[in-house]
Amino acid sequence: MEYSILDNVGRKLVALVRLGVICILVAPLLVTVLLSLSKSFTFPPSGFTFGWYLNFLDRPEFIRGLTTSIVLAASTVIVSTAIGSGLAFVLVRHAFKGTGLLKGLVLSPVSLPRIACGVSLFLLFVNIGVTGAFLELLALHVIITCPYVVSVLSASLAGVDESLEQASMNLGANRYQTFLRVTLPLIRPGLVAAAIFAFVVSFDEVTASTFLVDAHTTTYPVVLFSYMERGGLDPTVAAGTSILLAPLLVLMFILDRYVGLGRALGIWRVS
Amino acid sequence: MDLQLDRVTKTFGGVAAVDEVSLEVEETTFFSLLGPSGCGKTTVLKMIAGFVQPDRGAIYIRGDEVSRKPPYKRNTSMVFQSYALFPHLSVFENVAFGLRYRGVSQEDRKRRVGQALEQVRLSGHERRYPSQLSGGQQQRVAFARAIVTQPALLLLDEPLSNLDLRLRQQMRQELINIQKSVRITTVYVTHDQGEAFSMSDKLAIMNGGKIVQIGSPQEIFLKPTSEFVLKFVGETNVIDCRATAVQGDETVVRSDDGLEFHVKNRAQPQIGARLKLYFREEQLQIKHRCSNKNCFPGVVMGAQYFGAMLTYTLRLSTGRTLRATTVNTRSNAFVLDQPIYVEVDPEDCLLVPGDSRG
Repeated sequence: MEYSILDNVGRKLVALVRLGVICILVAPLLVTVLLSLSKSFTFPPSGFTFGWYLNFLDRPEFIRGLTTSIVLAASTVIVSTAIGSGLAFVLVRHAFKGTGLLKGLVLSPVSLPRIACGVSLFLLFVNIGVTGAFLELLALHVIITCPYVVSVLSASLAGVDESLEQASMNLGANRYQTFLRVTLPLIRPGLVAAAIFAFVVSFDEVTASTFLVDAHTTTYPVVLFSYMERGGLDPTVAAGTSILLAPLLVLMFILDRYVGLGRALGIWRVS
Repeated sequence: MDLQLDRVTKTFGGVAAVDEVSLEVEETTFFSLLGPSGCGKTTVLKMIAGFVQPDRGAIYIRGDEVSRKPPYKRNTSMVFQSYALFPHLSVFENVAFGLRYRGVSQEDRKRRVGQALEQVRLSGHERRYPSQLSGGQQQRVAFARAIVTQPALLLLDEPLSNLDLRLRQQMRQELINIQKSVRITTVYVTHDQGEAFSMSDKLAIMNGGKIVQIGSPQEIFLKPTSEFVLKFVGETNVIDCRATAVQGDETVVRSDDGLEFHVKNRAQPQIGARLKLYFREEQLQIKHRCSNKNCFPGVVMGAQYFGAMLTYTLRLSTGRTLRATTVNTRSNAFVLDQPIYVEVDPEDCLLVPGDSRG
């Protein structure tokens, strides 16, 4: 009896903590949505208007920035997962003397201030005469996202029993066929997770990107930032953020449905 | 000759995991590599499969040297200790995996997979996934996947060690039956002497990267050539002694407490040399009276039951204790403190050089 009472209290405590965490996570989003519909840039919001959404849609720089960011994030995902999976494969399956050093190098951008990444890449590109903001941004974003991709895929690969790959080769599949038919399907959840990380980190990146954008190629967060800098301290930015929520929720729903978001991101389901 | 290893050596970090191993396996033989963990037996198997490259020596499969060939060009099939079934593929796709890369037509693939599954008594499970099968069933799928390609060599890496005792004994028999019916030359790696002795046509005992004895199970059990083999394949009694005389083909030795044993010995030791005398617990007979050499009086001190077998602890009149294992039947029932005689056949004794002190 005593046990079940304690158990009950524990259960309620867990539920309470869970509710608290959800509130903390959701609150900023809720405030943003409320602000985007408010007549003035104050909290609590006052009045109700769709005007900021109209203002947002009226300004082509926002739409252009959004397009650039989506294309850039998608390209980053492709390049970063391709390079990252190769690196992860080498790090996990073919340990050699310099493995530790290579791993440190690959993961180092995470611990480097973003601003340093931006400045140094900017200086490098200027000095070697590379032009083309999109490719410069792509290089930057690949460098920044690679550590995430490599970490996630390394964990994923380490979870694939090496004897499965041996069994495949033993049965007559060469290395390439083995990778396609055995390794790849088994690390698919990891690949999806890595792609999500790369996309989100790329889409969100502003600090380093400010150094590499130009008049024609500017990413969405940088556009929002410069709009505010130029005195646009109104709920348009809130509208610009809220507008992304709906597609994001749909994306998460689809991912959870078909891949299992928890599994993809390596989170255990709390049932 | 389906498999030949010629002085194969593999070193890991300066230590020879496999040291100059040579062996030959005839067609359709069930050959076991038996030894304690870390003796190099799994490394030998991995070198045959091509997962590990030997540093020196050559490996021949059906006369072709394969030492430098990748695993997918060797025509061996391995059953892994963990089974290594592909979790994302169905039972059918798992078994058909190897046929796909051998250019077998879809129709033939279907027929042969069906046959293989029938052989392991798993027909009707084609659409299941490995995670939906029991351990024993997974084991059968792994076996079907290995034999369906009709390889030159079947390589088994402790495939029964993850099963419970009853299933293990059942699978043992099934494995032999299938192996005999498909007639594929098999190399079996195990640390379980019961398995190795009951299943093999021939076996090699390994220790410290070396093969210490090769022979039929009967040869190895009855005529161990070294202390290691003797101790490894059974429970033994050991007695420190000195050689005192040679009489014909027998050596006479005397233990420190004055027991005199006659030993049929292959090597002739020097008179006065320090020796160790070994014989198995099962080779020590308990008798009511003496009729022969090597017979000594004693009393029963205790008994340990193992079901079908039981082991007596016996104290001789000199104070020495020995152990005797017998079949647990009424004729072998002795009570505590009962005076008895123990006897060991001169043929069953093994003499090895003892340490030099004293």
